[in-house]
Amino acid sequence: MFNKINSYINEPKPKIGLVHATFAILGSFVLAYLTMMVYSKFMVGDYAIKIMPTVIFTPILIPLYGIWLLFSKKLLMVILKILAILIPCIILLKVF
Amino acid sequence: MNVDNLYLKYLIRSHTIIGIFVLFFFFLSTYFGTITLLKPYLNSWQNPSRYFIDNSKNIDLDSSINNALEQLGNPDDRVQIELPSFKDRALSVNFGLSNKVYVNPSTGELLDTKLEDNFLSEFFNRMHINLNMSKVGQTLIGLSSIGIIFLTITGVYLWLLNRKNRVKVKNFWFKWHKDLSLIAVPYILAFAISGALFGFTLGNSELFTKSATNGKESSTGKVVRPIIYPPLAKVQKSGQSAEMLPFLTLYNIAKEKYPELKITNINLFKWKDKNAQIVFSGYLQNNRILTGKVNRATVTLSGVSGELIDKKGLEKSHIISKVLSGFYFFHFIPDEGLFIRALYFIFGIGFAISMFFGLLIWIEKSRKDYRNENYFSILSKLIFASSIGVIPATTFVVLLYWLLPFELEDRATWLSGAFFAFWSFSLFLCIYIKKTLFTLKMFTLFTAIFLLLTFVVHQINIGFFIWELYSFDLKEAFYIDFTILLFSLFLFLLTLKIEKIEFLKRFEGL
Repeated sequence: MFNKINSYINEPKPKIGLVHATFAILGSFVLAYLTMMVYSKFMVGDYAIKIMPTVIFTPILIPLYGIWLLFSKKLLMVILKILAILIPCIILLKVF
Repeated sequence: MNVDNLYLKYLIRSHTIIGIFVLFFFFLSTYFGTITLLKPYLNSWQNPSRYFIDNSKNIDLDSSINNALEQLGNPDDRVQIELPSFKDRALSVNFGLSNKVYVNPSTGELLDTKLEDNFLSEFFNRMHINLNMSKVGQTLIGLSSIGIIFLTITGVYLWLLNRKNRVKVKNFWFKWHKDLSLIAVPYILAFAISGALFGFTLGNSELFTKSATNGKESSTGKVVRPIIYPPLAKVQKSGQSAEMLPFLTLYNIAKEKYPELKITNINLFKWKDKNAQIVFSGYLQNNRILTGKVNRATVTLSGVSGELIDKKGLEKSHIISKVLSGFYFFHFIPDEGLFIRALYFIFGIGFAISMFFGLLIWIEKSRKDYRNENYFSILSKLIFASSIGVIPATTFVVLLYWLLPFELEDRATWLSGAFFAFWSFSLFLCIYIKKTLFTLKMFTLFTAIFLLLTFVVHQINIGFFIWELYSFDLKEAFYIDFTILLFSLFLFLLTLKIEKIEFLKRFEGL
């Protein structure tokens, strides 16, 4: 079973499947929200400057992350890309 | 710009699939949003109380405001006055959560607005923001807006890649989908980004607030509102009454102190007290974008002496207020007149057609690939009814607005119900008639009949014929009625010729 999962996430996909699409869409929302949460946490200024840009830029970041995640031939690449942003964001949000 | 062939396939497929998913919501949101561009003119047209003859053309501020205050029980604090404009011929006054009182601005006479509810503009706006599905609908429209941003970016990217390869586009639907969308890109982005802000992220911003406040607060409004919307005036009541200067005098002083300010609203604080203040707010005529709805410029005067207490322009505005004002401006164009609204209207129609053609590309291609005639036949009927059937349904509800008595109980429910009933009937027509062109002919005929009847019934109801509307300077009503008449005559002509138009024969068999 491990070999099956391994070959599934490692083989290049000739077209977007449901799993790739789901990861890309959900991943883009999660990454956009996390990135903007990091911004609002560390930005210096009053609450309007900390929060309002996040509200404005999140809908622009979501499709940009989506396209970035879309450009992955293997499912493993999608997962790695998500983790590459997710883990540092969580560390920044939780530790500081 | 070189892109791997596989990524190109991903781009095209994702553009197609996301397009199909968002299309239903965003097409209808665009359609109703295009109608709401006419909201300022609809306000004067749909309310019988606004058909007063204004012979003097001067605003009697003092009579108007004093009569309204008397009607409201003479409130003395946080009174809001909206001056007449192209958005509403009447002057309105309200305070707290009370009903608004409307006044004829040249005579000060109170208007009877008891049975008026601005149904048409409210209904079209509700359909635009949430398709009458409350918070769920609003979220779906917000998500569709994010989808449209994705489609715009991928669409432009695909166009740039195709330009490099210079592959000539032959498919009719594809060519027009691409051309119309490319022309409207700034318009699409402006509405998609602001739509996503208002529909989705603004209402789902608790995580950002929690992050910014280290978990202490989750309500964005509570934390941000006092910064973006500082109180207009902080006034301590002295308890000593005093004589106020006339409103017209104070208005003229305000105009003198701030000539660039186009005054739209007046607020009264601790009125008839020694410390009374009057705040005149509006937009700067030389900078409408940054002094829109969210970031009004103001002049605060003493109600007793007319002395200048405060003057707020752009220099005192928070940068976020300016940015939000820009967003509001490009989405709502609050203070813009007919020319800009007409331009937006044309772009809106073009964009709606582009979306429709995008869907037709997919239907045509999928029909060749899958050959499931029944499935595509039903799908086509559903799409046709949703996108074209909504037009006669809209004109039906406008006609019923004037046909049904204003005293009818649950009038709004009857009108909303009639809209959805006719819309559903249009689906029945699509299935029953089968022939696309003939169905289109029926829709056109229904729309023409409803519009002509609206023209007639409206004038009978308000007691003015169209030439009287013009001669008595009821310009908004005149132009709307004139446009309705012209459009209905055009549609009658179209009904006669529709089956002979070459371009429309492409729709046959869809």
